[in-house]
Amino acid sequence: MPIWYGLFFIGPLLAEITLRTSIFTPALDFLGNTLPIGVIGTVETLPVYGICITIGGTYGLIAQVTGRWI
Amino acid sequence: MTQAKISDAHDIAKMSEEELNRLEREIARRHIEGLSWFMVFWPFANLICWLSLWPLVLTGTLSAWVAFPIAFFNISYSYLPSHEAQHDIYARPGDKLRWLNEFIGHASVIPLVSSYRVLKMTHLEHHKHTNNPDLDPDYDSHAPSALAAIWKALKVRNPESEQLLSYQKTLDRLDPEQAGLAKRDGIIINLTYLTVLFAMAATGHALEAFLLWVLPLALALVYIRFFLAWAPHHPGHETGRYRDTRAFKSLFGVIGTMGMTVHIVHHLHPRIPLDRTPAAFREMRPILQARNCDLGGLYE
Repeated sequence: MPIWYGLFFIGPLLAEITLRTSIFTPALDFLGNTLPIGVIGTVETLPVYGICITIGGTYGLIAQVTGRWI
Repeated sequence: MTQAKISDAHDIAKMSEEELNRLEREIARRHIEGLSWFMVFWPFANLICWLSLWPLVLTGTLSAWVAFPIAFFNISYSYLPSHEAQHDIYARPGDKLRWLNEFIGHASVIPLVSSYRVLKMTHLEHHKHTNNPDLDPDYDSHAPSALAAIWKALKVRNPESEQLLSYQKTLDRLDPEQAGLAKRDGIIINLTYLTVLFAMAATGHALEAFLLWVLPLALALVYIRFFLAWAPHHPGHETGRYRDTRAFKSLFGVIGTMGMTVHIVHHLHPRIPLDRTPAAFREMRPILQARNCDLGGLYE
């Protein structure tokens, strides 16, 4: 069940936090200023939801295997 | 303390065990009698308030950030009415208002994503075996410090948390039929919770669901575990009717701790309604003092 929770809730939640709030803005600005332009250009073309769902699913998988979120 | 009360305390200290028992039971009986309408009003007002946050936020009438602290309050205060029902305080089996007791028990903990049957079965075992490391389902809430207790409480929603395993172990040694119903309820309410979250996320409202349910639930569980499970039983080394629970002073006061500063009275007389427990404590204080209870200097 943690995998489903990660995929279908945590992932979309991260995407909404990225797109609808400014919580991640300082971190994204920092990455934008430090990463090579080529990498930034590539990252910007990736779908936000896709990346976030992958991150959420991975976190869920880790929770499933270890039995803990924190 | 007034001169009259000092005199009472002095008289009480000289009483026999039998006289103390009689006096304690007499005080408890007076506070148990009659329905507490405040405790009937509480679960309905609390649940309606929390439910109404959803349309208000989804229609844009109320900001989710403003709704978040209200949801935290609602979810934190959703447990205690169910706790009253677990002890049949609203109505005992066979009473005319028994349906109300069971309805409040089930409905009030919906925001807490908890099964009334699971809570009742495990909580009654907690009362029977308080501080027993093998049989008290809440024994895992013990921690050496307040910070350690908060950290433990934060981990309660882990897929294999100590609390989850402890509750499963408790249910497994109780009536299989009732335990089966309790587990079924737990699965249904958790699946419903996930369905709501997934539906909200699929429609682009994951942030609203997070602020109205997920985050306030996580914080409410910490608040509840801290004041209901850890603080009244800390350090939790002793067992026995008058030693396994304590009274304590808190910066949050009686209301801020959900009445748990006087939790010792609840363990001694679980059928006293929550809103009457502080008054019962004040009356019982000299008796509890004579019995060498840990009263933490409360109402000295």
